[in-house]
Amino acid sequence: MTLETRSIPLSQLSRGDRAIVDTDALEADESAMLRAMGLVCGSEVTVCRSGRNCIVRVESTRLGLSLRVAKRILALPCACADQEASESTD
Amino acid sequence: MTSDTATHDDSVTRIPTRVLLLGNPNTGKTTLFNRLCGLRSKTANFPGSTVEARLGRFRVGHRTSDLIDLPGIYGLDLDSPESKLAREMLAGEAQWPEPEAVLVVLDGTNLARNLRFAVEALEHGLPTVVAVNMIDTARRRGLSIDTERLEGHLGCRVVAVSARTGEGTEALLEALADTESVSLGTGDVPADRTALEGWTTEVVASCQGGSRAVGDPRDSVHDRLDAAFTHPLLGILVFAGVMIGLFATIFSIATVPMDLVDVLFTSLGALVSDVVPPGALHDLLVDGVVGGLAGTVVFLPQICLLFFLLSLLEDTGYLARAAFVIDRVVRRFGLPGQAFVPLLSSHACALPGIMATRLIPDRRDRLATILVAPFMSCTARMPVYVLLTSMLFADRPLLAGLAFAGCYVLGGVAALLTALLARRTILPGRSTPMILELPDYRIPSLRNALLTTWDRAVVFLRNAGTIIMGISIVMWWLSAYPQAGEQPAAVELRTEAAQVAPVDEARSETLLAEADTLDLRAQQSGSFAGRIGSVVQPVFAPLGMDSQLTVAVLTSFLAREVFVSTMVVLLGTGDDVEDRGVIEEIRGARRPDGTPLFDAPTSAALLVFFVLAMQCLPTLAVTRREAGSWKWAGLQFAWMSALAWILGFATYLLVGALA
Repeated sequence: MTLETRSIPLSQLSRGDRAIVDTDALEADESAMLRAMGLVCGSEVTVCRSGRNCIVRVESTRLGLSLRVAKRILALPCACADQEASESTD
Repeated sequence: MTSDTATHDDSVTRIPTRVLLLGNPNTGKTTLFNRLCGLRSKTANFPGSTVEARLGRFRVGHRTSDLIDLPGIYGLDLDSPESKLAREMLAGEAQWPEPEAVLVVLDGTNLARNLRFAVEALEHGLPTVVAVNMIDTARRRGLSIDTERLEGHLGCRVVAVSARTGEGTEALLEALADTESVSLGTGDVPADRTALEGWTTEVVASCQGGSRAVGDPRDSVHDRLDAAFTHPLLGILVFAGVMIGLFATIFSIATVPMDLVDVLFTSLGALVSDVVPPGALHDLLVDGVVGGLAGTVVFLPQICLLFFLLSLLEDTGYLARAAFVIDRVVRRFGLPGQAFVPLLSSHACALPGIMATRLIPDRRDRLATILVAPFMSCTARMPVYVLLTSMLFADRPLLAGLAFAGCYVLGGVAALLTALLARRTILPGRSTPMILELPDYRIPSLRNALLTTWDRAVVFLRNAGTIIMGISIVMWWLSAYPQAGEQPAAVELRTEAAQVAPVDEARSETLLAEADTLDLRAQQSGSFAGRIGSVVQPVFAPLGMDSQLTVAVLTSFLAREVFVSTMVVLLGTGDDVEDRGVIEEIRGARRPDGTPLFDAPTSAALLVFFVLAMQCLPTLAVTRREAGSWKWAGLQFAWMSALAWILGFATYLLVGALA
């Protein structure tokens, strides 16, 4: 299974889930703002609150994201990421 | 702390005269600015921009340098006015003297993200010092930062500081005094931006020791607090509780200093009255200058209290959570969550409400909030609401109470719908979706709150002393000239009063009051404002207003509460609106044709008009200042007045049909 097909929107993650940010479909200025705030491709996020507006933690920064933003950020849930890592090792 | 004890020699070092302070939001940048400059600072708009910066002075040895504190930004290449201005400042392209050095503030507990910002700043090639702030918090979390190693990576001086406690600020000042003479090489920052992430990870691994901030026991505390404060239902209840507490505190505490300000200006007016002989200059100073200033400065205690408490709340980290919760509610009207505090503040007074829109980062969001803030029913409307709801529902207190509450609801609905309309027409474009940093919970800094309050008070007073005073003088002149002089009927009454005084003092006083009222009525109808009222009366006639009501409405464009005092003067009643007898007398007022002045359709139309109309010149002046142009103030005035007239007319027709 490829990374793209396994990536899911941040909005679909539950509280406590961890994921690796894969890509986003946001406007350029929104992407740039998120990057500047530390949410870059490859960074690990932990969901602190899920729902319409969600809260994620990146490094030691907590970010509140609207549903519109969270739906457009695709991330690889950590269980999948771990599995993929072990498959590549095999 | 200043560098009074610094040991460097000014004669051999090149001390920068202008230092630009940059950093991400929530890095303690403002706290560091306050620590270095204290009260030696002022707030100013940058020429040619609406971005506001604080300019301060700090001492380095025997010299002083300017410190320019720009608003916190997450990146220098972002598409925001603040980022653009920072870029221009660094490139020497702003309409402001070019800085000679840069002080970049990093959050020591969040090194990775902040390093990216530091690299962006260093790319501009100015002598730079990096302050790793909140080093005490980092230590408490078990983190250590090797500043010498970090200097090697960045190629500039790095100093660990705690702006809150003052730790390291002396070393920081010494580093700033020596930005050019210390060579640290070029560092090892990769030229290729794509390699920056890897470099950042390496630098953090190399310079930061100890446990990571994530996983710290504090995180579980933060998570629990966030679970409550950002809960869809509980969060709104907490927010309501906090806001009720905030405004209850303001209303209960501010009355005392407001009364003191009132007494102060009354005394000042009396003093000027004693010193300056009667005449035009006397009237200008007493009624125009002192009277105009008093009407505005009386709100200063409310403004100070609001900003003091908001600063404390912001420092705790709670305000960001409140914005997160409220965003869900107001976003559908094109407003951001941060708009809620300014809108709520406007229920006390639109002036601090509009000034509080600076919490809103996006300019379009900020403008939309400024435009609609005066729709919120402020305290100045209360006397008018009391008067008109009492007119409408005499002896029916429940209905009067509901009508009173309905005024607040009408104002709120008008604000939200206007915001929606504005975002779809004059402020088009995609609404910035919520991307909000939720800073760590912290104990607020009293010093920061006091300095912020001082700063806001100075800005408000500067505005009051220039634009607002100018407008007040013009309005005073319009209502005071041409002078009608003493009316013959008033002369007769005064003569009669003098005759009856020895036998009936009460009757004498009544006659004198009637004489004063006659003179005032003549002055108001004969003044330029009164003449304008006569000319404008046909415009207000569809709302049931005669020339007396039109004059009262026109004079209330200076400030809404003037309506009640003008009516009292025009109708010759007492001066206490909450006195039942006064309301009864106004209710019994008749038009020249004998019909009631305040019939139900007229009272209802007036009530709706006062809920929606822009009748506060100080608010227009503050709108101009905060929005950066008279265009927005004019638009606000035109839209609110037009909406007030249209809905007032509709109400007049509706109530007339029902009656």
